[in-house]
Amino acid sequence: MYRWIHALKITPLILLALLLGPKSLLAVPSMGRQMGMECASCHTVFPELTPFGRQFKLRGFSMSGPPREKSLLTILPISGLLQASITSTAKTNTTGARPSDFPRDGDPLLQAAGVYYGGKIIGNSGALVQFSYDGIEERWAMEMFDARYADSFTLANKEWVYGLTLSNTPTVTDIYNSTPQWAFPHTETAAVQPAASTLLDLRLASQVGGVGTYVMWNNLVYAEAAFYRAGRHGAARALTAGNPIENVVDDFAPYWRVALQREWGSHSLSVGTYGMVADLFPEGELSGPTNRFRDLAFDAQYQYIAEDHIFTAQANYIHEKQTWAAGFVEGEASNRSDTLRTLKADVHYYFQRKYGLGIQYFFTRGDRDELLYNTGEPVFGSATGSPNTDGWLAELNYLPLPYLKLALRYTGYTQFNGASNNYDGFGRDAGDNNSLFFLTWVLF
Amino acid sequence: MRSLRDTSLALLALLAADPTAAAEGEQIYVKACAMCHNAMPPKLGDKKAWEPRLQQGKEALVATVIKGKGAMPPKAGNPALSEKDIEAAVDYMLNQVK
Ligand code: HEC
Repeated sequence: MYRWIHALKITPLILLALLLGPKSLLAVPSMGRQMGMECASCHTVFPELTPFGRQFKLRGFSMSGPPREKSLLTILPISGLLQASITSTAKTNTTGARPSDFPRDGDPLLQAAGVYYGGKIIGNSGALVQFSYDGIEERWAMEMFDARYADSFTLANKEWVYGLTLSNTPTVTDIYNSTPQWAFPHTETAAVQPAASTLLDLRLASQVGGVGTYVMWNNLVYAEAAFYRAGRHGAARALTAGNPIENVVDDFAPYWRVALQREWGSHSLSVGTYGMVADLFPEGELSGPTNRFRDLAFDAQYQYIAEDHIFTAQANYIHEKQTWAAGFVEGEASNRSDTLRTLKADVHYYFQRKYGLGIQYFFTRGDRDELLYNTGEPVFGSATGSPNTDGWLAELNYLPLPYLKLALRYTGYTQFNGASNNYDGFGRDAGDNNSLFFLTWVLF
Repeated sequence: MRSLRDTSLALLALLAADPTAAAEGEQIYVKACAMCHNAMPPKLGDKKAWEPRLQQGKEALVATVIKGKGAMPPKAGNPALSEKDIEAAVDYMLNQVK
């Protein structure tokens, strides 16, 4: 009964979106309306950006197309978003596993529904803000916030583009699709996730508010610096509205980014590095000793974009040093410090921006830490105390319309939380967490 | 000497240009090219930026617009444009730096 009620809730919304969609063929549709351009100018397949998509963001989401008839839609850059999905996990009945460990497994789920402010604010400023309902967490919240001001000047025949940002997630401001916020596979599933992830890999997403500044020199060197603080008070609270702040940053956490890029003909390439240092209070505490996370990451992206064929590849490696000044004393970590390393590497092919295939290989490697990982829980724990995980995922895409994406994703693990077989000590195998995920994603 | 040659070439180009085609070129430019070429390099009328490109010749530049280059999508992101439209817009743009 439950699952049918949800399915019924989703269907009319999707139909409505499809009806509204064709009038505004563009993604994020309000940005397309602003430029008078098609989705394809800025996106290979949304949300991945083309070189011009990066320029549009760099220049403050504020470039605009030829003057047009004024209507509410062309003045107010508002768009809508809907995601409906089903996740199916290979095994949900291993020893000790409870149904609540697999919330909504096999049920149609309204994964996200919400609105975007996407485009120009005034003059050289603009924003991409997503406020939406999260069907996995079951709450409305500020999912994404990136407001910016940008300008440019020419010096010695080379262009400098510079800007200021106000944002709520480290890497949401980045212009490449190789850093966590904008990286494939773009949407999370409701399936069980490995125990360990780095801070930069979205553990601070919508948990912080920060100001930053960036520059692009000669379309070659991109650099960015920002400071984030806990989204608990004032402006930082507004930027994270609706989200419980679980990862509380002490004072300010600096974030930095440098990338080199090159474009030639239909090809583009970027290689970069970025990082962050943050002191976090142990869960549930707001003062006293903290744990330090120092992340250093390297990323690269290649794109070939022609009219019919698109080929892209991304890679992202994050190295994290965790210093458990608080956790070691309070009995949350067995070691005074640990390292954690993650790699994600993926390739994508799209035909006429309609059919797509993406494949990703990923791993997590880290020090054994009994207290951190061997929690004694079925499903989520690690009997070896190791966070090591290995796997791959494959996703098929079909876009009947440029703003409607259907995705079928398979995620397969060969190692999960430290072992291939019996990783939780209750007989659960890595492969039991393999999952199939079907997503309908509409922008309108 | 060189400037004399350039001026006479420019005059010749002006004389040879069909005024209705020129107006059409400007219109297409405003509709399909200005959002980028007024805002980012190579900007309209920026001689330094266009000098090396002029040397490629018009044909090659038109072909580049059709194929796309760097941040410029194929057909400038506007599949409705014909080769003739693009040529007219390129003519207009080149005239601003001659
Ligand atoms: C989406 C932004 C955008 C639009 C729209 C656009 N251009 Fe461009 N154009 C660029 C960029 C960026 C470059 C520089 C490419 C490079 O050198 O990497 C460029 C370069 C060019 C060049 C030089 C090509 C070369 O070989 O260096 C020509 C000619 C040109 N554009 C003509 C046009 C015409 C004509 C239109 C309209 C029909 C147009 N552009 C619309 C962004 C745009």
